[in-house]
Amino acid sequence: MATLKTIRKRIGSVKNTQKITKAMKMVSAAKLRRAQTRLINARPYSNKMQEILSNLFYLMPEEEKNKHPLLQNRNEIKTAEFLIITSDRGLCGGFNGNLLRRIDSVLKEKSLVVPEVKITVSGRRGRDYFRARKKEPDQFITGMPEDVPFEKTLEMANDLIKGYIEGRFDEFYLVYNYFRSAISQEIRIERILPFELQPSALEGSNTYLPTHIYEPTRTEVLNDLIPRALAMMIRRAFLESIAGEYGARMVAMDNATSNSSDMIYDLTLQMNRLRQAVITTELMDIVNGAEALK
Amino acid sequence: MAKMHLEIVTPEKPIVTAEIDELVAPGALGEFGVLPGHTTLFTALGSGRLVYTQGNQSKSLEVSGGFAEVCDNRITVMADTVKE
Repeated sequence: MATLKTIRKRIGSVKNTQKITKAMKMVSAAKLRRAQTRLINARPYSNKMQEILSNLFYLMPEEEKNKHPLLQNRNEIKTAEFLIITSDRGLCGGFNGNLLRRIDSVLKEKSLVVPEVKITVSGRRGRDYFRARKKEPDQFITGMPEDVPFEKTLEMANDLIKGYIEGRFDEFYLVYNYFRSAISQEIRIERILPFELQPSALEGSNTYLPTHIYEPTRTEVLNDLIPRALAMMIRRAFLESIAGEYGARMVAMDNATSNSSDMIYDLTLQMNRLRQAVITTELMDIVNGAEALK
Repeated sequence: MAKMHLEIVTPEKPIVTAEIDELVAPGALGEFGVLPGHTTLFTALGSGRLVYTQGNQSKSLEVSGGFAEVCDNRITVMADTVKE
């Protein structure tokens, strides 16, 4: 049976928790705004990059198009690698959980078809998840800065291209939470190597366009452009994930705050009932005592 | 005279979207100019001043690194860094 004192104590602790969740919600909202601006500013570059690549290859002579190794699907896929982007911190609702559960089943399916499946995990949450399932990630990234420097992703992209050419893997996938809005994320699994081109906007247009003039040369230009395009995809995935994380945390903390309000309400009601009951019993005692003295 | 559509973007943020008459940009092999009706071109960028003209006004920006594409009267400049 709860006593007045224990109820008061619980109300106090729920109030403290509420203060924390409220503060975290506020902080997440502020960080979300910043992450969102970064993401929105980065999207045009990344879209342009895709557009230009599609145009380039669209206007390229057929025989040249098929020469580029990064665009070729390999006949036999021995190793598939996944980069799974999660957050370093928790308390963001189903943000990591949903993604990890989903990718776990995808990985299981994949390993039926492909002899070797490697995973690179970004974010402590993801690593802990795979560790708990006795599956140490092959590579682990943590503490990605929030502005996700382009140089850093460029390094990753160059490393990927090297790995692909050397045959360390035959397919590379990006797994991340796409930022649909502050309150909703969408799990995306995208294959980035071999490189997939989107259909060009020029397709079906009537104007005749000659193949591009390349300066300095086609090979040099492509060797420069493709790593950048990859780097931008990776950077964007990170930015999407970071913005999504704050959005998810904001929502989770908002729910937590309103849940604790409900809890405080219920507890206060319970406390007042109990207090009333105590007063009534005390009064009865006094009245009974007075009666007995007569 | 026909105008060209110019877009300048960097990895950090989009910089300029404009309808222009003329563009002069620092290519990797030296400066090049673009007028409406230019053939399709794809070039790496060096560093230097990029100047574009709208009517009789011209604006210039400091760019370094990146690429430019000219295709069907649309110019896309993807610079690594852009300064006023």
